[in-house]
Amino acid sequence: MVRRAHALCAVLLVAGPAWAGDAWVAHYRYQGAHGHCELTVVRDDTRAEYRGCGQPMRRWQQLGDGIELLELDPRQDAVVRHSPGDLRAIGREPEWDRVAGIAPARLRAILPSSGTGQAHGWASTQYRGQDADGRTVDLEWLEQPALPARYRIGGSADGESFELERLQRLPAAEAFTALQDLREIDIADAGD
Amino acid sequence: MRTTLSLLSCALIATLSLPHAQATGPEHTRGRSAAHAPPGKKIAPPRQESAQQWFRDGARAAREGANQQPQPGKARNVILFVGDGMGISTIAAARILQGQLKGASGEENSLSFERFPYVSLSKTYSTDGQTPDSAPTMTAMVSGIKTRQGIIGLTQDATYNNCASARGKGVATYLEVAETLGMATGIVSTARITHATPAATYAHTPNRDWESDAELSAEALANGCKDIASQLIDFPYGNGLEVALGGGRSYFLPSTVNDPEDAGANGRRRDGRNLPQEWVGKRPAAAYVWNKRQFDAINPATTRHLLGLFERSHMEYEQDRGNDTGKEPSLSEMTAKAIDILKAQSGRQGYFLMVEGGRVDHAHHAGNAQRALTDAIALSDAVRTATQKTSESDTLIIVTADHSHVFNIAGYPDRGNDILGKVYTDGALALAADGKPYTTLGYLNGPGYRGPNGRPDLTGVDTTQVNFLQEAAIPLESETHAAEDVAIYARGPGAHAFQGTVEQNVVFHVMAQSQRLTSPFYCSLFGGCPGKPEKGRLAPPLQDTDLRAVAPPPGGAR
Repeated sequence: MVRRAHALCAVLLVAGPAWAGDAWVAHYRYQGAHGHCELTVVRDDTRAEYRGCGQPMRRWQQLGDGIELLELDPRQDAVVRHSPGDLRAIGREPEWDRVAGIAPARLRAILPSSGTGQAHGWASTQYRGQDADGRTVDLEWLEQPALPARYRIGGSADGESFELERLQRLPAAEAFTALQDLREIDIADAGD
Repeated sequence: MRTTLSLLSCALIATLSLPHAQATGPEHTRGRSAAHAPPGKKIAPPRQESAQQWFRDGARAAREGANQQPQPGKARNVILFVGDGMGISTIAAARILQGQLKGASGEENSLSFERFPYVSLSKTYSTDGQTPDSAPTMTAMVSGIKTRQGIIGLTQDATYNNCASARGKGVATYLEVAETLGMATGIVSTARITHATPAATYAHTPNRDWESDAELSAEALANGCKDIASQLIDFPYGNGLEVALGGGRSYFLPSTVNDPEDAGANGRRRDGRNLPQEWVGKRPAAAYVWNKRQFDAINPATTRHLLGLFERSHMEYEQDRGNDTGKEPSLSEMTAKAIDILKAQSGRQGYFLMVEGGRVDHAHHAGNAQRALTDAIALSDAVRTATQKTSESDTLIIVTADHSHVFNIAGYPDRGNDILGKVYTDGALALAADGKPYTTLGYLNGPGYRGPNGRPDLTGVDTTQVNFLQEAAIPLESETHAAEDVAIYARGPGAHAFQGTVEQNVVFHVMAQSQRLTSPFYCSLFGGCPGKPEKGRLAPPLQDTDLRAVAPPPGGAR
């Protein structure tokens, strides 16, 4: 019983206050076929926000009935909401682990582990192999933040990669983009 | 509205990005439609079909048509059903889908309202648009005039998005007149109840998007225009609406109030008004509900005013309703509850109810035929509920659409071919000139465009999957409305006035002349009463500001 309590304390210490209003802020260097750019991923238990790389802010949120998408529309000074039903209607409801962790969980399930280590102060596991489509994958996975420190998929010509440059834990209210003062547009209304 | 991916076109980050307009084929595969036949399997026509039977059935239908007599007298109650975007091709495809879901070949099936005795075609154009949006079309149906695109409850002399131009241009709606004359009134929609179609029954605004005060422009605020949600709560006629059920909760709640269903979400009002609280506080025996459990607990005999807001924005598609967190009533259940309350509250005066299947339109815009058809079937179910709870002798029921969509039923599929499937002709998969199969259902434009590198090969794709997007010929992020006529189906007193092809605003005039209180009211104002002078007291249309002045004394009101 005492050992279980110690283990629980250790988990809570490692997890820290992230589950009490903090969020992970991961700064990546993204490399794709068309060049490279800086991408920031902000994540807590139910939200995953992507900023940078010339794209408008996109936030995926878990709701009781699915995942919704909020996308900043700077031209209209508004946020466009895609409800879970609207995402389903266009066949684009994502898998949560994919948007929350960039690398899908099933990838780690099928790839052989090639070692463990440390990256950015967190324990990591390395995976190498091929995904279901036969593409080469090189993944270093940070178990605690549940984010990749390195994720390379495909060859040098047509592949892409995410390299974690900096990892922070910040209060969620500070880490996520403030949307409360923006007008919200329902994507279902796009057609009048 | 949407931005496109430019810098990052790689597969992985594209997956994490916006839903794309140019979707590719095989990924639209989540979910299943269990009741469909395997691709290519034909369902045999009913055994009783024979040349003799076709002849006898046709002759009987002709005799019944010839013997059809209009319902005598005036209607006590009027119910207007609007399938938003439910064009004739949608009705035909929904009819077939419903029949196939019952295990039949489908084509011989009829939706509930297709058995109504009177049918017209409705020309839907607005005063400045060949293809209209829902604001001028519903204004036509409930105010009796055509008007401009995007405008609700105002004449064509108002200018879109210009509050100052709206002053003195408001036209009284049928619902406002009904309330003034002491009838009970209600609106039901699966869209937001502040959305254009339901809003046109009770609101007046030069911009259909001014649904809460947060959407009002500086010019609108400066010139005193009111948002649509507040117009519902501050409704000045009669004793206010008895029933308002649908979506749109965030437009009624202040930004400081958490949404009860979706954690982390808030209302959007900036004026601090909590409109559901006001609804309950201002009216006797009033109730507010936001989930099905609360809705089911409402006693129609003791509830005089019911506000139900079941989603922050639009309610779920019928296909997804079972997955909703807070659970939602169906359109049929909302219709039944509304009729029960209106019956209890209206006494001898009667009631007016508007019911909208609001998400047929949204599913079409998304290019998702199955969701559109499922919502059209849900509207048919709601109409059936209304016909069962009312009498043809005293209730006029009208079923129509505000506009159509660029939705097609094409090719030469065999009888009983799965309406959501690929075209099979004479039992063989039909191939286009590119050697690839194609579906019966499709869109002229919209998100289903798969180009520019040629059509997808659908041979191995199950097109009956609920998330399959039918192919579109022209790439648009949102599929569009269509300008073709829509149908009007009617039964009950006054329904026989629907004949031939009519302008859309005729719907209002049939309702006005068919109800026993509104008929003498309008003809006393504008003439045309049987046996009375043709000339009326006023020049039409009836302005909203004049309505209270010309209304009869409140002795007749409840």
